Amino acid sequence: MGAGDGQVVGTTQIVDHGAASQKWNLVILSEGYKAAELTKFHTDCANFVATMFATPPFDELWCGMNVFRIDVSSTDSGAKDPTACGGTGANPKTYFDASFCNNGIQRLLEVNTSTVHTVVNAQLPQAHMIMVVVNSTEYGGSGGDVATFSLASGANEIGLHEMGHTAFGFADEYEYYAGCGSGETGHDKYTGGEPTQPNVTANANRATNKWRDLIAAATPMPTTTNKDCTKCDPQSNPFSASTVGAYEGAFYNHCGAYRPQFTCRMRALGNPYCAVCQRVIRQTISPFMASWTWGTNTIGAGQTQRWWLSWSGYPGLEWVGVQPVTPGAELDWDTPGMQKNADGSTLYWITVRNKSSVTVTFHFRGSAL
Amino acid sequence: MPQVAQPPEARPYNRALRLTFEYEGSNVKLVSTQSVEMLLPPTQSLEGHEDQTGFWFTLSNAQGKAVYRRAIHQPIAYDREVFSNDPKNPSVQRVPVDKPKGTFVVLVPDVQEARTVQLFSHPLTVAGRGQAAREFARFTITSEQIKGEKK
Repeated sequence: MGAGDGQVVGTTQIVDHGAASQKWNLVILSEGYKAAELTKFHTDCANFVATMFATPPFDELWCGMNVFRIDVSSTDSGAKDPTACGGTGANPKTYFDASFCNNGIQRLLEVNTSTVHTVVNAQLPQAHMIMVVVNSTEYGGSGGDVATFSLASGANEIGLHEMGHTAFGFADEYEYYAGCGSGETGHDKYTGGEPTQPNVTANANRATNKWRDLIAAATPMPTTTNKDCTKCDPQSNPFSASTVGAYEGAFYNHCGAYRPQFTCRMRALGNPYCAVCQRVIRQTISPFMASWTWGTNTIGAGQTQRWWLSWSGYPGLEWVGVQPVTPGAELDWDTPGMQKNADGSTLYWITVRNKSSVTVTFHFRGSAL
Repeated sequence: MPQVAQPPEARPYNRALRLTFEYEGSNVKLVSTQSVEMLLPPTQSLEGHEDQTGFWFTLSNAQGKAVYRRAIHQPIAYDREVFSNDPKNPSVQRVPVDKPKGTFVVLVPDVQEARTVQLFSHPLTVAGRGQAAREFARFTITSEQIKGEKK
């Protein structure tokens, strides 16, 4: 059973934006594909990559990312499907021992993650995120350190949700544990500490909420409240889908914990990542781009301001410029100044002029030397 | 009056330790340490997390000062996420696991002056979620443990 039931065939870079040592690397492994079926895995991989590329904000960060495919053949096709969960009883010999019915739940499809890590550590130790695609059309998947999903329709959403957890540290934004209609107890009101995850909070105070810079002044705080904490909030979104605020019901609790937008891929599959999650993804992957945004600032109408920045990161920094965000903005700026400090850091300064009649938001852009 | 630009996202570190852990319950073992030429995302804020809940790891220097911190989703699976494409079910829900057991990987910068990795978590039970995270495992990594280290 396991690694004796197949072999590691090889690793192929299928999205190539540079050396693995310089980019953020996603690795996708095959499970339950016989050697003759690996061509199908190549197609399945390409389909997932296409889905990912169409998912904001990965589209804009694409140049910072590589994708590698590790072809692993198995003796047999598919995954174990125990009859105990109503499955077919199939018991194929596969490299990573994929099986449905873990913990007695049919859709809980898991692999031997220890074997997965052994393969990845040997084939591509630069991996930042690992996924396993299981050659079965039955719906299933699982998360944790390795995202696993089958070929059933919509199952690749599991990969995107789990990548939110594993690569970016997101919490679940759903407001239940077992389900809204499960009759669950113990999930009425969150009374714990502030979650360290960036996309849920116990704090709906406008002045101190951790994503307060994304909340418009006109948006009420909290943005929604659940009138009956014994169950999930049944109300539909009273605001536009893009409104960022503090919506009650998150982090497995009907009340007392808040999420940034009414919905998000971390709340229910098939939705876009919310604005807070997208920002964290950008912050994580942008440094792997050839150039990236290192800060966002505003400047008042008609004003001239100088900004200072001390840089001590590796290996060195090159200013790329100032990029207006506000539509129609008219900005100009001087060539940045630079001074090496005795402690090895570098001090940069730049003067920006807003020639517009409105306050302008802009990015500073930089790249590594 | 000059203004200070918002702090930049630091350029990632260019060499990492790939640490592979195995766990059974709350017992965590470091089973493999690889030194790898790769970039890591910049550190998250190092301070102000004392009363927070969740899971994170830090890399500390010889003076015990944290130099790198990343929060990650709970890698010790005392419960599991279950998915559904049946509209009658929620697309995602959780179920408790009786005997958590598995493997996970943590990536930290490979900087010779900092070789202590600490794991922080809220109590490793479903009910413990929400309680303040505390250090529950610490590993000091020696050069002899590291495969592939650049001398």
